Amino acid sequence: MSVLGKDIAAFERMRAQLEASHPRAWVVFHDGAYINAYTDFQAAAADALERFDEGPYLIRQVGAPATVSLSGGMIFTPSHAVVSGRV
Amino acid sequence: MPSSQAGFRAGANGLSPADLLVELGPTVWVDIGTKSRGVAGGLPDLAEKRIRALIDTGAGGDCIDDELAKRLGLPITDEGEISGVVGRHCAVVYTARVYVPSLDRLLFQPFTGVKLHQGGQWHRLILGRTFLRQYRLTYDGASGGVELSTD
Repeated sequence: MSVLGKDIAAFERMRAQLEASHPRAWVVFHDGAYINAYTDFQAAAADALERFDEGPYLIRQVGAPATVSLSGGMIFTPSHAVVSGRV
Repeated sequence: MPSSQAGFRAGANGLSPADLLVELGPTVWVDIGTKSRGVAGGLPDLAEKRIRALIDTGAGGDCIDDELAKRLGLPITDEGEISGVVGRHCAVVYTARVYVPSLDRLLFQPFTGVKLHQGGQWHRLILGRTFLRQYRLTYDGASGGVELSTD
């Protein structure tokens, strides 16, 4: 069951707009609403922690790579990339 | 220049330092939490201290044990899917502050949740190549010594 379903859906709705207006920025979504864009992850996370404490909330980089390589040959794929196509 | 030993200087349980390095891998001790309870400008004072972190040159991103993340109340800040040799499963990403005392380095970043404890792993955190980006890693398998340095 998705913890961040509303936030991820909101991110997907705004993705094209964010890619045009805030490329490479970090964005925060909470309770299905866009909160703000930030120049780096630390700024986004510090503001989100201050406002929403333990959350949950979504913090994503606009236009980030679709996968992250993890230990032992595993890869992590953010939900938007899982939905839009397998790698 | 900060430097840290991530290998083993002494053996244990009949194993030499070199054996322990093979068995356990390069390890640093870290503190983990959401917010520092220390005074501004002082050393970070995070909730959980002396956690074992594996230095993993085979990993790009960083991971944290799911059980530990839940116990510490780390915020979930993304979710997706992990795939690999055991198939696919859903995963969440937590945000945490991690302090490495031996390197005087504070991380504030996302960590993918994985089942390290449930899987019988000794470590509770995995630090990959992003963490290593600013260090020289010297691995001496023959002696069991591993050094992280910035020179």
